[in-house]
Amino acid sequence: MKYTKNDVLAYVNEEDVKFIRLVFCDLNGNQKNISIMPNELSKAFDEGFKIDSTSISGYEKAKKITLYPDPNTISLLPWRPSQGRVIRMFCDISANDLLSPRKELKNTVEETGLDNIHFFQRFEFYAFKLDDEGNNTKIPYDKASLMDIAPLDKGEKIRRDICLNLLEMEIETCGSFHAIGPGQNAICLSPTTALNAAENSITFESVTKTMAAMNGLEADFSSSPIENEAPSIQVIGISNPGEKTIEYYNNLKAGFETIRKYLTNQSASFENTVECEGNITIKGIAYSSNFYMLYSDILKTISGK
Amino acid sequence: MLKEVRYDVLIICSHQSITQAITKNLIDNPQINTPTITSDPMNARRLLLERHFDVVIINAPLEHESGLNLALEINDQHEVGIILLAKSDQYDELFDKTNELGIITLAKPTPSSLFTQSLKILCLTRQKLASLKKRSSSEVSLKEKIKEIQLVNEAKIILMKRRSISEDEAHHIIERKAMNERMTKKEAAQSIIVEYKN
Repeated sequence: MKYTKNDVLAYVNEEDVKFIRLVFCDLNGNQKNISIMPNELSKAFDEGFKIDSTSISGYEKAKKITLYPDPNTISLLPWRPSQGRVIRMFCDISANDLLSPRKELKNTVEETGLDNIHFFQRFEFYAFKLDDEGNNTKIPYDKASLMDIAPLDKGEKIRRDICLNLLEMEIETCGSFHAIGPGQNAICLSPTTALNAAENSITFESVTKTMAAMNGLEADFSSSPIENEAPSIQVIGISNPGEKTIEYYNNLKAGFETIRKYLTNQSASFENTVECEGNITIKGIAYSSNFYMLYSDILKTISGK
Repeated sequence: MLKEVRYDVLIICSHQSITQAITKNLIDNPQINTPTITSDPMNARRLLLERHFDVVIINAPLEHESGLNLALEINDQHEVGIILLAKSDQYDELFDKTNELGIITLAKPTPSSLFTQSLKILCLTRQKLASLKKRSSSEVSLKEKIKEIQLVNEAKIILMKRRSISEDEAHHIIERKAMNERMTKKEAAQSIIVEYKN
């Protein structure tokens, strides 16, 4: 435990935090959030925060779900004003007998004992221009190609903004570059535990979309937003599995059917999806996946259980 | 005073005649590079992302928006000086809303000398701000702040146990120590922890 409930309460009190965003995911992996005020926070830690879930996909039948903020995931939203700050925390969901992917992933980590495995992630997205009414024009932001430099590459500053904002939220990146397609950018996140990796992917999407929108652009994570241009290939992988490499690789091969549902091309072969060169790399993950469930299934598969 | 420094200016204006008048004013000024001109606020947002500008001049209203929100947004997100040109009947309202934020709002028609002076003052204050910013220490991160909270709590618990005092009293002791010995609360807490551990 890094932080406790009392640490967070003291921080909120001392640092003029005005809004607390409780973040969770629906079963399709879309980030959802609700803002509560500081005077509600203590109760939310103790008893959870109940919300109507009849319109939240995957939880329609539960009618109500309860959110329990995890103090270890506290982060300041760096682009919000410095007075009347906004913090966010990821939440466990309790909903009768229904699945809570976050809890499921934590249980899987415990059951498999694979808490020392670190995952790296590389995400690609297209940046499209918005028109003067804020609609997506589907016109790419630049005409640059793989690893081009400015002025051909116009995405340099926005990638920089994304990386610096992520760093302020304690998410480390290890590289960023212009990808193959026009207006297509790639950013690599440093290896971290399965739970952190899942939540970093959620934060990454919202930081990227926010930074883009602030600058008259829209970030598109879908696999082929422009016909005949390079697809965006989302990559995750196990960092330095060492002597376990062969075992994990073979287990992934045996249990590939479990992973297949998270791919953009669900008829892709194992050989075209998983590579093994020092690290084990899985290519072509759909960004619309629920990353908690994805990492939970990967851990289960490589453990052979 | 401003020698060797040249400023980049972005003009956001949807009236060609006003754009020309502003440009004419700037051309005489050797410290200003050729200004970039756009009438589209979305294009302006993208330009600000791509390039560095020192000063943004917004002629209100723009075609689809008042210009006020754009000024506030740019002020919030970018390190630039802003001049907002307001219609004389809207001047009071716009001035009230932008005044405290350091946006310079001028009523139209603006006398050429007032415009030029305002621009010069804006450039000078930006230089001053930049040098001040270099000197002031950066803000404390969330991680450091919570570390401080945890240390102060640890010191409080030690004091409460060893001296049989209340939490409030322990809190006061730490604050007084920090003040008297000219150190931060974090350093005061650290020294109390070290003192009692030995």
